[in-house]
Amino acid sequence: MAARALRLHDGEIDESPWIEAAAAGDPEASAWLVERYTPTVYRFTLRLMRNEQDARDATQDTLVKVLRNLERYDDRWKFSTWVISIARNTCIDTFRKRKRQSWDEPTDVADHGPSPLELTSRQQRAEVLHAALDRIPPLYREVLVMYHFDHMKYREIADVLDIPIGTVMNRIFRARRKLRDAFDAELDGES
Amino acid sequence: MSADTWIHLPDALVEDFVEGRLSDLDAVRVATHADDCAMCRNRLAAAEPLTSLFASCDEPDVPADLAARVIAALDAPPPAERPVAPGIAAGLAVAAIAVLVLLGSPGELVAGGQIVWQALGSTLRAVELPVALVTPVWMAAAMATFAAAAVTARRLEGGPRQASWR
Repeated sequence: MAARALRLHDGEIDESPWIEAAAAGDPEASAWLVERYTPTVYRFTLRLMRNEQDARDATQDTLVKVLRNLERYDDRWKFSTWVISIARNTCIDTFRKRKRQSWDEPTDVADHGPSPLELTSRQQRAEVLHAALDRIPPLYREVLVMYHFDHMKYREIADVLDIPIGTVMNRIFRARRKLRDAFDAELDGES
Repeated sequence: MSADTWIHLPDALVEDFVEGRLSDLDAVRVATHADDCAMCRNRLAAAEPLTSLFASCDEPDVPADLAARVIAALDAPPPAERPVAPGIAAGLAVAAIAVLVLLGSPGELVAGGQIVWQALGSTLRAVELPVALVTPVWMAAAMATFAAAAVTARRLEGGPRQASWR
């Protein structure tokens, strides 16, 4: 099995043997894919949904969908892009279910750290950034998460969102503007 | 400006891109170049003021048991196919009954079918549909129609789609 993980010259791992084996029902290959993608999917869903329990559930749902639908995977897509697109759809499903509650309610992510006085400047900036991200609509939050946190290329974001690359860029520009405004508002202590 | 002439993006272009001063066409060219050029992608990221802000965020810890939980969920039997919503099912049933009432009995359909066949010309005029054959065909067609409607309803409910936040 270890022979499947061939390292390519650009440092990326060739996942295709694992994907094919998992699609054929190999439990070891499925477990390998789960171990590999759990951190990526969890961090993506957590940053989009800002709630740890929701992120855990979304991660599980996403990876189960991925593993049970491997025969539908089109290898013209990058596998990670396909996984993220399924994670995004899962988050949107959760978002819709919660819509009548309040997507904007304070979340539990920031509740575990030290008090504000104990925070370092770097931590404070991160806290304010997350609070600012909470303020902007998910439509804009998601492109910032994909570009700045997940370091996805413009083309990959366009694939996930199924929109032209120019639209991706416009959305990122607008999102940054909204985030700067929200960041300033957080610093000013606006509610 | 031609993307073909760039080995790497000029500094002024990087700045214009980050500030959103380029036309849509030029911005797409820059983005496309950056997608394929790690060095320029890093330069664009470094020029964007928000990048350092995002970099100040630590990677969230991943729950230690999460992968095991996913693997356990994979081992569980998949959920049963979601049934068609009761409202849609009731609507389909009413529609099927209405079709039966409006179109009449199989015998009437046979008569109508024969008229149609006769109108098709001399080649088909000689063809007569035996009732014994037409009745199961009629039943099969009705069932196929019903199944197609059910599948369509299922897709309308939650089939593959590009999800939207709106």
